Amino acid sequence: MTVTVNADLNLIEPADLMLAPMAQQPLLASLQNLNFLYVDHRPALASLIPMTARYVIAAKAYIFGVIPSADGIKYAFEHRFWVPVEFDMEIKIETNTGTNPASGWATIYTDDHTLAANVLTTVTITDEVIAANVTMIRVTYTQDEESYIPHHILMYPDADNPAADTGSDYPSGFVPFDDGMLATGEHAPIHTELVDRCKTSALALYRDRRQMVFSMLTESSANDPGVSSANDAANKLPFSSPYATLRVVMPGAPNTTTIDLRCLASVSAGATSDLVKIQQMGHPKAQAVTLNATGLLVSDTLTVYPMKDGLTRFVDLRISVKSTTGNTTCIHSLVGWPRLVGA
Amino acid sequence: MAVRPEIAVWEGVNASDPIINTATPPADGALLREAVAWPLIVSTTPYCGCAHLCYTDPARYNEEHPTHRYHDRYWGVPVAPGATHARLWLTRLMRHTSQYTSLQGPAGQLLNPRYRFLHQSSTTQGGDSHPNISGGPDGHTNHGHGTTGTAWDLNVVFYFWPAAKVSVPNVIYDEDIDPTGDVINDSPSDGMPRQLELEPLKRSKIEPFKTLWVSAVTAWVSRQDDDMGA
Repeated sequence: MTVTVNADLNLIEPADLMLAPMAQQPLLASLQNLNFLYVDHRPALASLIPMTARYVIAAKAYIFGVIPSADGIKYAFEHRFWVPVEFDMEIKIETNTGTNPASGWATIYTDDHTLAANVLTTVTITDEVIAANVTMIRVTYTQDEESYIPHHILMYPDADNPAADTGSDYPSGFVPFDDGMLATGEHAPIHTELVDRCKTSALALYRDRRQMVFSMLTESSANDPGVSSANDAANKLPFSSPYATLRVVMPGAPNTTTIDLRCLASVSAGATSDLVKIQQMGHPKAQAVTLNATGLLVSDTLTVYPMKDGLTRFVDLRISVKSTTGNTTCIHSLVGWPRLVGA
Repeated sequence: MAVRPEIAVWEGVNASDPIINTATPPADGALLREAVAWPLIVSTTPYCGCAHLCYTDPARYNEEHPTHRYHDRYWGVPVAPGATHARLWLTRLMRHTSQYTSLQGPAGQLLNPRYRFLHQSSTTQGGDSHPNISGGPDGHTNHGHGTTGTAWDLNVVFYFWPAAKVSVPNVIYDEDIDPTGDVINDSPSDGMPRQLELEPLKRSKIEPFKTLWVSAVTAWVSRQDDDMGA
């Protein structure tokens, strides 16, 4: 240690008072992660297990509601089958922008796929653009000679959705990152917007890629006798609930969470109002919503109160159904997506 | 320093709220930390666990039917980056009988309510000797149909539901929701209840599953990587 005495006064230039400038990194890497997110954030928009008899020999059509990305991105579909004898299955995917499943279908995919015997066959169909205004998807399996089991229908954002400069913000609110200034410019300014974009674009994307949290799917044909509630003299309660409780896991969900519902249900005859019910179970503030079985796609919301925290945060839901005297009510599909982040 | 996956807490978060409003922000560490965190949070927060009703036959509300109760289900789940293990919530719903010591099986046989649960994964992470087997909440091993071991006794909830497509009035159903095993052992010497290993990745993937004997099922990420950069 030395006690140094200056010969003259040390002059400290104002520039010496500047802190180190904000560098490209780590902001550049984080902004690049936004573009990666646009490709890689792929939660299931739809995940449905058809409640169908084992080894069916018939064409089967399934209709379910969707809330696709506002950006009109590509989606991938996975169809899982198990068959005892090898054969070709025709898979058709259609979209609809209305609420009436009797009309308005547009075919986006049709092809035959060979299903091998006694092994799981997963048919993955990629690059199917789903417009933002699509409200329903119909999946049809056509085959009338051999038996099969339709195991699962999975729909998620395709990996082939590269973020690109469109000259304007995406409808979802996502803004892709062009590194022209930050990565290559000499002493390029670090603008506030670049910092904020890391949050706003990431959350815009998260809000836009909806995550299905529960599903019930049966055939779309009217009066499917399997999923029905027939009113009889033994009914002493207004709703029958023959279905298992659904435990939904929603990491990070707000204490009060809204779930957007889409239901397609029908009746053999008679009144159609308030025949389907979905409710939260096991929470003192649990609420229920009743839906109409009009044969049209019905939209509604259910408020739920998640329990526990972290990875285990969950909600229990129960679906029930009722019938009017002498008639049968059928739920063809009932699905939901939570609103996890506020606007 | 380890980079851990982030789990969001969405309470009070608004997507349009900026990190900062200052026009020329200083190189503040906290500011950069938040800018870096958000894409990571969105990327690694596990996707919601979708709960599926998965009856074999919608006419069989419970698992008594001799043909349909054994039906397996193959399905797949998108998994967000950073996940290392998963578990499942399994809901079983059975019709209650007055002689409830066990459930009634086919041809008058008593049916111990066991189930088989298998996980089919494309990963080769651990578990080479029994890569695709996971047990249930009661701790018995599950190698296939009809295994010996302790039956999975349902917690009798006594949901009192009216008959629906069932001739017996006022049918009582027993229901239980249980998770699969919580032990982490990716290389078991024998089948055992355990968490299902996932290949830790820095990108999302589709994980295939197979289940048997359940009325509803939900897959959820139960553990995340301690260091995604390791």
